[in-house]
Amino acid sequence: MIIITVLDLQQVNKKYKNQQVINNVDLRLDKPGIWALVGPNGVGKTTLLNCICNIIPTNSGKIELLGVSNKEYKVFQQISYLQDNTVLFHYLTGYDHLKYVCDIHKLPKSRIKEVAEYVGMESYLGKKVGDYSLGMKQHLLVAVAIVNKPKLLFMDEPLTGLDPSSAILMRKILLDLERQGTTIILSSHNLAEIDRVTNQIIFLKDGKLIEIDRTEHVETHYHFKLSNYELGIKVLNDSGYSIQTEDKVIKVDVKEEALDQCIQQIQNSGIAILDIQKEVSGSEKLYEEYFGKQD
Amino acid sequence: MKIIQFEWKKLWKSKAFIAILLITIALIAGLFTRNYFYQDIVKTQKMEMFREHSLNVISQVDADRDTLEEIGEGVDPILEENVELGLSLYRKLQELRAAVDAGEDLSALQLENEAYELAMQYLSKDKRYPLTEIEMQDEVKLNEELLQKELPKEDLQASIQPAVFMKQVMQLLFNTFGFFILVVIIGTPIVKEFDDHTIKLTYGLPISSHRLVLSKWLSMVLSGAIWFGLVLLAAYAVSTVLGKDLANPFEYPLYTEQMTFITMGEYVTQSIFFGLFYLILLMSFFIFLSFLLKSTLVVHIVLLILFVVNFIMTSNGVIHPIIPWSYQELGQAVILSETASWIGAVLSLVLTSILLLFAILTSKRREYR
Repeated sequence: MIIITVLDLQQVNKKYKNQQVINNVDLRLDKPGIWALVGPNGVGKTTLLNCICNIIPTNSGKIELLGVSNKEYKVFQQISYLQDNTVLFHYLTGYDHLKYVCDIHKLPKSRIKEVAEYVGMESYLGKKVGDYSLGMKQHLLVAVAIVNKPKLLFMDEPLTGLDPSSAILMRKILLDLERQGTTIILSSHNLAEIDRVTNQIIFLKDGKLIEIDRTEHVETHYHFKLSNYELGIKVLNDSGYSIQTEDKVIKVDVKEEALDQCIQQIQNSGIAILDIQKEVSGSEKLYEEYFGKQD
Repeated sequence: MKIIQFEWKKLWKSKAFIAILLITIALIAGLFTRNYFYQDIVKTQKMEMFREHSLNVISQVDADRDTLEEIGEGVDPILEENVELGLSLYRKLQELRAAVDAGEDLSALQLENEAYELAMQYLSKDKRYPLTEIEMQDEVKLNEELLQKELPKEDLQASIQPAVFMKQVMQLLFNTFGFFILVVIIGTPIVKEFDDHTIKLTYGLPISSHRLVLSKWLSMVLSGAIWFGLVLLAAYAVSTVLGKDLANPFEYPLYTEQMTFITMGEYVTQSIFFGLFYLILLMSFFIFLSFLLKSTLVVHIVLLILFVVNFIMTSNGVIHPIIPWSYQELGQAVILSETASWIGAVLSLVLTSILLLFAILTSKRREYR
């Protein structure tokens, strides 16, 4: 079976005047899924996405999308890039934008209605973009990005400016697309939202990319409330578990597969378990590890 | 074609293009109205001019008569001849004034020629006349052409004769000012895409650089052609419906710089031909500047400087039919010679191709601020 590399960056460099924004970056994504590109403001996330999508040129390096150079415009028949809302023409309607994109992709007009309904913007499709709210613009951008059913989708801050219901819709869209086999690379500041849609994180730091599978770094803690707090601490300490206590709750660092054994040991000591709660350390902890604690 | 449709949608929805079309129609209608009410003034001015000529002549005749009275008859036969010639010229000018007043256009032309023939003889007798011999010869030649074609003489700056009015409109609009306003209005929605970053929407789509550049250029050319066509159509329509009803208005003769004649029909045809070639070149230049400089303000400033420099050059005689940018002053360029220059058209196309090629190459460097 031939595996087509979804994204392949080789020795990619981008410099603005004296600032090296992207520094000899290598990245290869072979499997589909959702990838989050994470980094502080101004680190170069948008620049990297712009370089990948050939919106701006790189200084050196090679970029391949779905096995084809990003300089080949035809590859964008299968790729979309959701950019910030400055790309929208304020004096045109949402319909005008979608018609333009459909025309370029040679898609039937019926696709406009289809995608507008899917993202929930059919009621204001005929209004001028200048009259749209931030969330409405984001919906239009999503519609523009997915109208061609892309195999590879880049999204620059898709979760910015969304109200809770739009955020839920966006999450649904992302997961739907992932299920349909679309590979999504999204940049975002919203670490909590990222945790809800993907475990695959790419940190951008000092112009370099660090690819992380969050599941490998995840720390799962279980919070126990026991009938005998002191005895519980002794039992767990004697069994070699790493524990922390707070307000009569014992926080045990235990992996999922060892949980049953831990429960067995507590119960064998004659202690009743009153409550168990699971806590998974998210991207935020990883982010702090890489970029330091943010004030 | 789909991108052109989108570019047109942008242009129409930006409203500036509609505004320039409406202003153009209003300007043409206004000019025609002004000319219409100017007809009596033109006639009066003409009569006044010939009255001044006749007064000039009769004052010299009176002076000669006084001299004759002093020296007595038969002493100076040359002076007597001059008096006779002066009186003939004076009478001819009076007849001419009466013909102009009566609106007998063709008779007036004939009388004008006869008057100028006498005036030239009068000048040869060391007498004075308000026109030079060369000026009168030119007028005689023009009048002969008009008589041959049975067309009345028109004031080129205040006529309601369809062909002459069209020339006036073309002179008013197809010049440095008109072309600059046109290209700025048509081109701004295109270059502005770089300022507000909306170009990135298109850059993210499967469109080749050459398709992108050519589509934008073609949409500009078509929009320019629409304005160009509207000017001609509006001028023709208003002057044909409300102006002078003549059988062959486009046969009206027009002097070239080389003092040969072309007809108004030839003038209009050549203006359309070279005007369109100039639009093709101008739009490619704008597209090239847009993709190169990627800033509305900078593009407009560079364009303004080049237009002004070219205007100064053409005004100072650096104008030739084979230089494509001479057509910035279209009317001047067309009447430079009797025959149209194909070299100018071919050069326009060559330059257009080069500029578009550079624009395509520049578009591949998709850097912008």
